[in-house]
Amino acid sequence: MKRFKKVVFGLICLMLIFLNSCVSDVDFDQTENILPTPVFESSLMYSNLEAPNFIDEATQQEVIILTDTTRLEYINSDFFVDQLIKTNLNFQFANSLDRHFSIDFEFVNDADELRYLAEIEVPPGQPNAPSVVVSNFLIEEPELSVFEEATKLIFKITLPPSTNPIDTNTLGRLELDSKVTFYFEL
Amino acid sequence: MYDFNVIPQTLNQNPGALVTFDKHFGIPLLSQFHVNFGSSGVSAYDIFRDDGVDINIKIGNAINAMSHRDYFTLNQQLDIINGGWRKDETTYFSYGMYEEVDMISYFPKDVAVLLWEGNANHIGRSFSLNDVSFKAELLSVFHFGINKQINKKFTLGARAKIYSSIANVNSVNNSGTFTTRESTTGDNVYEHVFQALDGRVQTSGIAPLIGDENSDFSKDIKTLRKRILFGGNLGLGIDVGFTYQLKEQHIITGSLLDFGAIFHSKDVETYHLNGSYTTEGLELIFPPLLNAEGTTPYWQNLEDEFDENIKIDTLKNNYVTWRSSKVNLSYRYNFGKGNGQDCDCYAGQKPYQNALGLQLFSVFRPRRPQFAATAFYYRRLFDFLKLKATYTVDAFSLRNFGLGASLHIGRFNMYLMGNNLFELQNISKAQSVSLQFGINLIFDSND
Repeated sequence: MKRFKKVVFGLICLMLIFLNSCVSDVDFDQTENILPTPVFESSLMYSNLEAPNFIDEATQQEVIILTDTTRLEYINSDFFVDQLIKTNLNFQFANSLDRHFSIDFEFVNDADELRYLAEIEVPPGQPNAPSVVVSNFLIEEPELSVFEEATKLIFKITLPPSTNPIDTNTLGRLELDSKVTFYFEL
Repeated sequence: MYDFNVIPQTLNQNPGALVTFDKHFGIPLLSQFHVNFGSSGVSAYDIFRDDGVDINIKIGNAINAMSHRDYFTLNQQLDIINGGWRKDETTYFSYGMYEEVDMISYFPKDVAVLLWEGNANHIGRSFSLNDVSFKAELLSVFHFGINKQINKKFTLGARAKIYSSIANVNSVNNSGTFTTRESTTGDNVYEHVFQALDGRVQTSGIAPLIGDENSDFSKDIKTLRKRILFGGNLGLGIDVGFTYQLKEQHIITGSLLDFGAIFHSKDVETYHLNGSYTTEGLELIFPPLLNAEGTTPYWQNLEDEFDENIKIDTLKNNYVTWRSSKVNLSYRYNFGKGNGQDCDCYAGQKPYQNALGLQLFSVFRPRRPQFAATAFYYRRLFDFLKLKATYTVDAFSLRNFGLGASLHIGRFNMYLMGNNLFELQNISKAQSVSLQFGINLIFDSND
């Protein structure tokens, strides 16, 4: 009987181990605080413009304004509107044309209403010594919500009056590289 | 459970185990419940520890600490029917049906890092789709086994199985990379390279359930019920095993389980991602003659180019999945005969009271087999109570102590087994947990 008691005692201990199995020192409510904050970088757009791009074919004169437009479908998507907390636009110009340029990046909605404007002045450069301009535009609330209504980007190059206009033989080019950084909270 | 011969369900682990009884019948739905969860890289405690540290930091640390070789597994089995009877002195038949869930997912490290941190801090790094590897199956299994004692020393067994897969999803052998790196052409800041993407997710039994927008849940249940009874995608498999008595007290055993495959042809849907594409963004060319709108569809062109080069196809191909085969090997040394009056009817003599032994277990997984080594001590405390203590080393833990008890009162048998007992005190710290229990009726002509 002594042995039997030992066994019963052992069994009770075993039961206690199983029954006692529990979860302690942890806080599952922390789940509510889980907040991935990935940061994505993406090339945006680029262009390489040389003298002939700035000449009006009809008049063979320098143009005053040069524009091109692209749609940007994702900015006003639900995902961006809900999850994007800030964004940074980075534009890098290298100008080896001996000409000053005023650049406007106009972010507009479908009704062509301006939602965000980034302005950059690019001073003249030389074929072997381009002028380099790197500009960053950090967009946060409250600007961000308005920015997110944009569906199109107009890249507008204005050539202010000059005594030394570009002709077809002018050497050099205006190069744009750009990238965008998206800061999400998912 | 393996080599714990007094429990009838040992036959599920080794169809060639020694059978020491004449008939058994498991209480339906209660004869065996088994669940095993494992995580080789992280425990719930690592993430949810109440230490004041921001959980996002802890998740980030865990993602960085784990590698694509880490994995999560879940295996659960529920006996619906289990029984057996002795045909003659040397032959024992057993049969049954059980439900099983089997899942493994390797930690998709690159995808996790990309989603958790983004690409901004990883310019130049190639994120590999190869890290995505998982399979999950819900199935029912019908089986019939024969256990044959060839001679006094040697017992062989085999079990035929019919699998009825209720639902399957798997994605293995994926390849390809996504890289954001500094432009090699100099046209823009970065180039984004989707290199030779080739990824596949195969599913069976899932598309019709999610396809009908779950409008009629009871219909889904009916569909599932049908599949449990041979209505799913069928497969065939076999278990084989043996017990060999080297010398009177030295016994070796071995088994190969679930060597088989399931042939998926009903309700199959495969999603195939493939292609290569490199982009540096939108090139604005300022066309000299602008139309009224002055727009070239740059964005549309980019989307079209992407869609042309990176394709996601939905296929209805049949496919085959191999079960995760398992191998068990054991050596046991029996010693210390008691003074009891009972007999070990197999040997026709008094049973040994103690046994010491070693077991090796291996299961084949998509990348490489998973191993476990166990040392055990078996003690026949009383005729009605047998205990087995184990110490296991595997990928999850180096200090996994387990305990099993089998209680025999009359024809009634009840068993309970657990692993990782020390961690049970705080289960959240455990990287693996295994638990099984069951209730049987066991009949022996000597009763």
